[in-house]
Amino acid sequence: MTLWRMEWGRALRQKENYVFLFTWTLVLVLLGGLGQALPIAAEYTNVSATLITALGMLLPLFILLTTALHWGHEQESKRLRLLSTFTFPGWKLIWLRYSTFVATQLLLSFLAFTVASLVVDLSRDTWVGLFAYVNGLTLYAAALGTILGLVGKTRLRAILLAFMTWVVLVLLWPTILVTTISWLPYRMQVNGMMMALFLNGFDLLRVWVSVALSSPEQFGTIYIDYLTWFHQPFGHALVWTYLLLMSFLFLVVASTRLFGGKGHDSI
Amino acid sequence: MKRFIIILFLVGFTGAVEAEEQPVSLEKPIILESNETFDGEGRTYESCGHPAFIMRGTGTLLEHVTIEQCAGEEVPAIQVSGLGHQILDISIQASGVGIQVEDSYGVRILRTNIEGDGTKEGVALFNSEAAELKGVVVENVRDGIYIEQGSHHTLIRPVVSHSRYGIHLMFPTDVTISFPQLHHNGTGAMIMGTDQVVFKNGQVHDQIGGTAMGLMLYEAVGTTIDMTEIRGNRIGIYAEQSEWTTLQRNDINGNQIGLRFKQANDMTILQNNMMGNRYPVTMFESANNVVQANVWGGRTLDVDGDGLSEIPFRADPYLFTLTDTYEAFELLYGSPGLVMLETILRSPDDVSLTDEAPRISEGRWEWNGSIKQGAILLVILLIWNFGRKQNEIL
Repeated sequence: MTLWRMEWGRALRQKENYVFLFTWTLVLVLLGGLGQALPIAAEYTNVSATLITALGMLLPLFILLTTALHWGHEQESKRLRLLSTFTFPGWKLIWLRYSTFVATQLLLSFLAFTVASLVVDLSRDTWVGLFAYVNGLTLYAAALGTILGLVGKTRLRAILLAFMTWVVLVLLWPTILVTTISWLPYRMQVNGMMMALFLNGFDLLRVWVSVALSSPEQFGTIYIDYLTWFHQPFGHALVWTYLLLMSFLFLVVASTRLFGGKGHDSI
Repeated sequence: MKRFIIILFLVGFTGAVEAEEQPVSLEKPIILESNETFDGEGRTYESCGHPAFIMRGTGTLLEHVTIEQCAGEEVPAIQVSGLGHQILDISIQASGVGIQVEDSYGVRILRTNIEGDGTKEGVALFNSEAAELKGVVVENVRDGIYIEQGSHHTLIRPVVSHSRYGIHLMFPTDVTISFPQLHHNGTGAMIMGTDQVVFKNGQVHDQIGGTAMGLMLYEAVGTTIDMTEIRGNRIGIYAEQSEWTTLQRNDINGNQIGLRFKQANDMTILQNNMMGNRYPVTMFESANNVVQANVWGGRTLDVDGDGLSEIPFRADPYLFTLTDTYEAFELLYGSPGLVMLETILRSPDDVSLTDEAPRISEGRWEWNGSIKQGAILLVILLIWNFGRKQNEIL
């Protein structure tokens, strides 16, 4: 626990935290304010849908780049080699860094949400939904970024890998789906789209939070049966269990990648 | 003791006043012929297997009546044909059609409430002319007000909710609908095969279901939708194969898709507020329209201070084509990648819907702070500060 606190203290002292805080607050306040300039209260489409899209685009990029750069730097500077001379399990090191990074981001996003709520009027359910979305994205992206940083080995390669991953999973994902799913027979396309959701945690979270804050009807009649359970406790549990499992799996792979089951001085 | 007797007397007296009148069970319909009037004085009439009232001839009047139909009726509660009939202050619990008007002229239906079981129409007009419906309130029917053929009808303040279509027009001409309130229906108003329909000063909101639409225009010519608030629907206005439509001064906000056009041309779209829709407009083969001074909620830049943006608003047919061909891709609505794609796509001008000078939109921020939020902020900052000093503590 002492080590965790030291590591957390180190994470909180990083200068990039101020950039994160500034960015999230600015996004929430600007988009929230634009959505509020309406004569009616249609909360979902006014504010939160825009925020879901904006956060879903920016947050994975920032978190992937930060975590990948961090681990790329650790490898490039040979600090991991130094650390491996200690009798300290490799998986613990990864877990320490990951958990303290996520805890720091939770604190920052909570701070940004609280500041934004001073000038943007949304219901408590909407704020909670958006906060859960941000945290889900952070959990998933940080675990993915950890692998990418360790695979990259150098800072440049880690950044390139992280950027490429963001382009594929966020920017190009609809295009990839359109290209592949349209080849399926018409009756299988909806099933294909639902299965594809579980290949990309970012997209799964987007659909989950959209349904949770609005209704399954927003994606058309054909998805009502498929997405109604997202509204229910079972749906929430399933989505979050999947995210946590995938993040855990990414960390296990990263740990194996870093120490490869060999001795602690094999890096 | 004296007080007790007085209270007993009052209770007994009140009870006598509140006793409900027994419904009148009708063995056969009450038929009103020319110039006859019927004032039900608030009495309730039950009808099974036949209409409660039949109005025919010229100039009959039916008023102050409550009608209860048996379950599963195939006949209307009130059947009307002829000229100049009036129906005033009627309340109907219908399992069949509430009021059916056929081959009539100048029928007036005022202050009428109809509650159905979702299987038949509230008010149905067939081949009739110049009907006037004022203050008709319909709930839980198939179509609230159904008009087939005919012309020159006027609907003022109709309120329809929890039905399939709030108002359903099939091929009538010259219909004016003023101050409608259509909410929690499958579709607010279905306007099909019409000519010269005016829909104004309405509120069309919160339609429900996967295909929930505020207004749907299909093969409608010369429709005008003016000063209407259309919000909280999946699609605000859907127009297909409709021409010479005018949309002006409407507030179309908070819908998943504000406007959806398919082969809708020669339209005039002026001064509408389209902000807050997830997608303000999707369209396909609908480029030949006059579009000016609408608020779209996108990027705007007003250099000369005239309130109009120098950056035009463009709607690309890509999104419509994508989801129209492959319905499964509707799951991509709101995806960051699709938003980016939509932004960078540049279709030729002749297939894009363009507002050359949209009105500018501005944000609004209001102070919502409270002591609770201030305390939370303080706690987070303290945690941050405490966390930063962990090494120093150790």
